[in-house]
Amino acid sequence: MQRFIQSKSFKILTGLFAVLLAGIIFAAVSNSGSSPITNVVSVVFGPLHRASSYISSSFDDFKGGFVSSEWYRNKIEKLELQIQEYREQLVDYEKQKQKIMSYEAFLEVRDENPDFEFVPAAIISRDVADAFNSFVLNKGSLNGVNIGDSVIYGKYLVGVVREIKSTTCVVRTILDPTVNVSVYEVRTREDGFVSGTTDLMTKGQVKLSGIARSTSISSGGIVCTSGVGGVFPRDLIVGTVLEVKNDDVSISSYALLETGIDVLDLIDVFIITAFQGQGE
Amino acid sequence: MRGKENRFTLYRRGIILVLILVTAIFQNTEGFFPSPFGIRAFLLLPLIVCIGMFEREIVGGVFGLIAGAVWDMSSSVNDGYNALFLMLAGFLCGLLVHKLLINNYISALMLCSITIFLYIGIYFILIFVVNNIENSYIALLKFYIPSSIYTLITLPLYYSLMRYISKRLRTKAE
Repeated sequence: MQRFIQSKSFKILTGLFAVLLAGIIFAAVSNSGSSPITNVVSVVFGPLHRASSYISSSFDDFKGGFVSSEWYRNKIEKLELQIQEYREQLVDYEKQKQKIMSYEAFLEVRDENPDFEFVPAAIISRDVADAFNSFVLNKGSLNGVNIGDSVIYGKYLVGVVREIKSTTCVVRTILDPTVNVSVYEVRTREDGFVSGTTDLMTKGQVKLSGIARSTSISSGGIVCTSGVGGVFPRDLIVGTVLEVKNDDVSISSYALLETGIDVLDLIDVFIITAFQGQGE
Repeated sequence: MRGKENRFTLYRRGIILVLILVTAIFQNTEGFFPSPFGIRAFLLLPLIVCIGMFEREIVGGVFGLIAGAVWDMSSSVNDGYNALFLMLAGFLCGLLVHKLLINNYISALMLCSITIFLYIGIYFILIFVVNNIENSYIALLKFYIPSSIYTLITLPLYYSLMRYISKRLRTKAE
């Protein structure tokens, strides 16, 4: 034992131990968390580490080149499927959003007009030969629908029920020249009547007639049903004024209105079966 | 032999009935058949002309009546117009091919053109002239004439289909 203690190896071991212990104590006292030895070692081995990590990453890249094209194809197919799935979800989301917006507007109409009675309906077919886009709803006389009932989408007037069967009804849109709606412009309170024309039918526009030449109606004005005649309830939106023109054959003016709804895009609508002042 | 013939006739007419229903759905449902620039194809017209040509007058008339009744369900004109018109179209096309004309593409084109012209003409009178709609010629120029041409384009498809069905199920019966 004594020989071992006096031996050279023991002295070296003790020396090393003392140096390491001093380093630990120094690290603890200096709050740097690293001993001078570690610092020295990291200075010496730092470039070596960087070199080794560079070699390692280069090797990884190099290895990537050997991944089969099939792996990439599978990966692309997987990602494309994922994109497709997201697109479908987005379409569903847009549809649902549109539906919710329509229901929100409808609820607003219902809250503002507690006297209205509604029947929800879906479009089941369209008359292909009708240039004014009339359509058939899945509700009829059995559901309390009558000829002359208004059809709305949100706050917008879509058309009027013109034919009735027990489980279906035919709706003529406001684009149809045979449908006349008495209206007023919200800002100026000027009255007039709206009907479709053959030259406006493809543009989704209608004509507001019967307004004075000195009219204050201007572009952007909102036109609503006036309720006169008791056919349509008051305050359903018919459209927005695009431009006002002077009539060539009379002393009055007329305005072109954008209807605000695309009849061909509609799926679900509401039929107003009763309201205060109906038929008066 | 006779029983086999009857069975194939029944198959053929069953297929034609399905074809009418499918065509009616394609015609009357938005988005099922392309409508470029807002013009539409009145698909049941060429189909009934072709059925009349291959099935002769009585069967052509009956299928015309069925197709017209289906069309009337979604029509905004007076009830029964389509049923009456298509019944007459099917019957007359069958009769003409039976007594006067040769059954080929040219006669099909001629009969279909006349049928479309008459259909549009009567429809136009019922809707535009009776209701005294202003500038109705615009609807004719912008919608009805382009739609007639579009409808006529679908004729070869229906003629080929009817000829195939007719040949296939008649040859098998023989």
